Amino acid sequence: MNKILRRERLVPNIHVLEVHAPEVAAKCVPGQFVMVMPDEKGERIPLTIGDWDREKGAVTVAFMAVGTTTHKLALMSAGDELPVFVGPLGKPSEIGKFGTVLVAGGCFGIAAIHPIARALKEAGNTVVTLIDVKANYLLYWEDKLRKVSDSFFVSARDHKFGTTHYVQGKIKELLDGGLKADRAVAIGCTYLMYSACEATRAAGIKTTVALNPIMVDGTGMCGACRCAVGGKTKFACVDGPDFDGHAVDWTELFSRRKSYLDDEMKSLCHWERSLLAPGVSGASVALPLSTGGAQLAPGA
Amino acid sequence: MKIIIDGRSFEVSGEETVLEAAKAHGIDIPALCHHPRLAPWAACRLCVVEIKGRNGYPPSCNTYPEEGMEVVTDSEALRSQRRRTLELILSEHPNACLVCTEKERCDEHKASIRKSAEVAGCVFCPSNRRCELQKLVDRLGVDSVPYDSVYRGLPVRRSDPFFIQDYNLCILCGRCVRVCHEVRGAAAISFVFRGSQAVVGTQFDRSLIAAGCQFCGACVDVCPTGSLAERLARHEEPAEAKSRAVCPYCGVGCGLEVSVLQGRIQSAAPADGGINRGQACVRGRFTLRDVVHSPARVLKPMIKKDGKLAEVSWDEALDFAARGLKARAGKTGLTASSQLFCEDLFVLDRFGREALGCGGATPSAGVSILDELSAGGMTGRVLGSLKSLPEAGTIVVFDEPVSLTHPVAWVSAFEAVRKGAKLILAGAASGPMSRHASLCVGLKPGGLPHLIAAVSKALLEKGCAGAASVPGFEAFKKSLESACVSRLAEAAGAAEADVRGLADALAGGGPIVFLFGGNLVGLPRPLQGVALLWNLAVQTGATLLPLAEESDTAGSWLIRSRAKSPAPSLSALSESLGKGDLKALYLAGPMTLPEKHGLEFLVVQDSFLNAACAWADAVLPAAAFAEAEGHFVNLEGSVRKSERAVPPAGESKPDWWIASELAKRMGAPGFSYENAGQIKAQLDKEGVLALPAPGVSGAGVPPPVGTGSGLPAEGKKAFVPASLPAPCVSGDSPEHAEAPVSGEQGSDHYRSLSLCHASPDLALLRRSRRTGEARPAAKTAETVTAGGRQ
Repeated sequence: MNKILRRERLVPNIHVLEVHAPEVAAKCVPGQFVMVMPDEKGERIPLTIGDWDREKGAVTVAFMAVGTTTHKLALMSAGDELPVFVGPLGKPSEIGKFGTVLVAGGCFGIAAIHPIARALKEAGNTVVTLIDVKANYLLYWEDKLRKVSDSFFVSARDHKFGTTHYVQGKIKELLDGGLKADRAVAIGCTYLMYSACEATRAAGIKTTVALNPIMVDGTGMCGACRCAVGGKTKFACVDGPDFDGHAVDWTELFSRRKSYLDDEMKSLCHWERSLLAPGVSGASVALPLSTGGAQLAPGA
Repeated sequence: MKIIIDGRSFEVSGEETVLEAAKAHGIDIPALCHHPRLAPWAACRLCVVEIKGRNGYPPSCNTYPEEGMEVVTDSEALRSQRRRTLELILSEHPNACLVCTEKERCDEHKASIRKSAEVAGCVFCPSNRRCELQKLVDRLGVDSVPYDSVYRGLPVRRSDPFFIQDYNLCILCGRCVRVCHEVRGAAAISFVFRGSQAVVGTQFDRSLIAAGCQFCGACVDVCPTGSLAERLARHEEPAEAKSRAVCPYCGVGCGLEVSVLQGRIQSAAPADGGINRGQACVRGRFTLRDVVHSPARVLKPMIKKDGKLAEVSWDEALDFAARGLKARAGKTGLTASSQLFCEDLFVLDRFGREALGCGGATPSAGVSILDELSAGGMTGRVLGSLKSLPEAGTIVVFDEPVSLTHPVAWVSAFEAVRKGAKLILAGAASGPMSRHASLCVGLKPGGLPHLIAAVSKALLEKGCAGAASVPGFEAFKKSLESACVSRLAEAAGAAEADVRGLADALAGGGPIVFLFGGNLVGLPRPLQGVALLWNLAVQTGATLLPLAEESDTAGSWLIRSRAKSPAPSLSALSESLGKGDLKALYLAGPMTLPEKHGLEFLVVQDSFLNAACAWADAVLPAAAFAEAEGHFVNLEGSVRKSERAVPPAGESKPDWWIASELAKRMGAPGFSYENAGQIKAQLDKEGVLALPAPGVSGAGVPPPVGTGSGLPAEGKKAFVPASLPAPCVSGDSPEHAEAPVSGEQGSDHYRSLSLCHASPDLALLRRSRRTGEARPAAKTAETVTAGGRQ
């Protein structure tokens, strides 16, 4: 069991979880993830490590409350314990001295790119960070990211930032404006990563993305996280999660991510109802059901 | 009068606003706070127009036409003004997606994001692609918002049943608050705080369930944004198809628009116009999906093999059932639910008479009000309609919690109250009723007949003439000679002053309507109570509006009445069963059958597995109402067509099909129906549904909307013999039937399925009302957005 040290809602939907996990904290490196279960009966989900404190033995992950498991996590607080917090898993991100690296993140990816940007900066790169948010109230960790960036940009659909660009529009604007990027890293929802790759493709900038397919065990056993990269099937958990974004079969990934959408919706509704009315179960087929009919009272 | 709108001249009444007049002539002025059933509000300022000779831009929704008025609804100045207004509205509404160039591709690729806890843009929103605000942004061509986005950061309220409230999306149009106050009379919600803090909320910030909300869903239906979203449907794509069904629960027969996604019911919303005029109740609005797709559905025919029910083919099940029934013809009972379509009930009744030899289908709900009226010879055009209810001057509700049992009938009654009608409650009331009543008369259980007799006597003592010429008056007067108002009032549990107050109100004139229902018919001597009430109605010129408990109570009565010999009553059937006269029983209606009572053969035809299946030799899966088409006859005698919305679950079949297949196999002729339309044609040909039900003003045709008084009260009517209720010893309660212990309402079931069993949300609502508890203090998902419990 791993104790939660802090659980905080940073902005709408995005929560940060700091967990006491000394073994994970001792070994994790940028780009790796942990598998988490909020309770013993739920599903396992992968969360990218956003920060760590090796002395404290603490690992920080950010997640978006977007399904049953993440809603459950969002209800936990300091002192609660996670039955499963396994890691670090996945291959580390490639960190080297590339020159200028464009680091793009959105949503939960804003936290996920943080250790990568930090490591790239430490490796002597010029780090250009681009954060995509829909609106100003969704921006978080700006200070943390500015500290590890040489320049910092935001793409948003908000008057406050004077821009209505989505991430690819801003990347194009930066490249057109003379940015010479040698590498790019993009982490966020599938659509953000796909869009970032589309923007860097023409310029031939190698772009790494951290894929986020449905994952079950995280150790290469189940194969649920398979994805096609460069025409070959890869497991995001053990072969990735980082891949060359220009080689990813995005159509397949979009499709696979929606495989259980109906069940995910049902699960979320069911869970919400169970919170709403504890003890009032849904319909079951067990006999007898109560009936609305009059009772036949023979001989009355 | 004549007015000119956009250069075209129109004749208008002057009673409708400029916005409504324009709309009636095909000119649609954009508006967000306007709603046809609500009083003008002029909050959103989008419906502004130019009027010649007037300064500024008056809102058309609260401007009334004047002779020769010249109105311009569309100009560059107006478009610009509207865009500015909409931009301001959007500044506090998550607007990123509205102005994003990626929105279409994003919609396609971000389907799963709709499950998010909080809405930060359209792609997250339950109303995406069905949102009025979104449509208006498109229409007015707003492609940027020149203000910094503001998120109010209010916790998303998830701790109430049925729907979720996210007031971060609210644009304060006030429709929800107004519909709750003006149409439903519930006043569960209101605006709280002021200025920039203003938000829709409840008294003391309680949950809706604790604030007395009935969850009728009217607020959800009028919301132009995604602020109020039905829990079960909110993550899903917009519906693929819609069809018009009739609610199968109570006797009102509300039209429902059933949304279908991937062959399943997504949700149901009240249909505009028709009987319910855009209103529904918690059952019709929110439980259809849970009921039709209940895991308790029987999906395949089953017959008993080696002491256990085993799934078999239809052929095998029908042959088996037909053999078993044929061997016991003449010694078989048949019951049918009055929530089945007329087509089903007609074929079942024929099946009972012509194949089983049991004299027809016995209604499983027992005696209905129509049976009592008919048995007591109470005929004549004295029954009212929902349409004329809002025109009433005095409404007396006799021991019926109408806002709970027939909420949409309450909406019509409340409309009358809003227009100034007096509402008088005798006995049971619920929710908003007592708040709007001008007089509440107390009542002991079973005291209703005493109260009615007391009022009749008080009126006679007042010397109210008018009814003296009606046949039977002398006998009526004589029957009350020995009565004493104060003793009857005491026996009823009412204060004498209240009884006299009620009599005064009835003597005061104005169209009077009596509402009554199951509580009167459920008395030990229902006929006596109904006759006393009938006489009071004749005495005062009141219109009776009996609130039938089930969706096809009237249809069932009409179908049974077409034959000379009526089907056995439930008590007669019960007696035969007790005596061992019955060898077989065919249940096409819900029955609690605690034991098999020597039955040799039991067939259950139902949509749901129920307790009786434990004894059944054959279980035949019937399609649910939304899986077949047919007609209901509602409480005012209107024949209401319900369309099929989804295919039958599993191998289930319409009830008429099952009964006719069995009849054919048992050798009965004339059962070769191929579809429900053929049965309806036969019903029409034989004039079955067009027969006037007792007192019903021309069933099958729309009831006349009042002549003079506004309510139909013409035609044959007479006093009927009615005995005085037995006197009570002081302090005793009159005899009464035991109250149901479950706490469920009469119409809280569909066939044999308890709605509370199907819908945990409804169970929570009913339980909280029964016990008075607001809701269990549990950790809720609400805290996901409030930053979690700390």
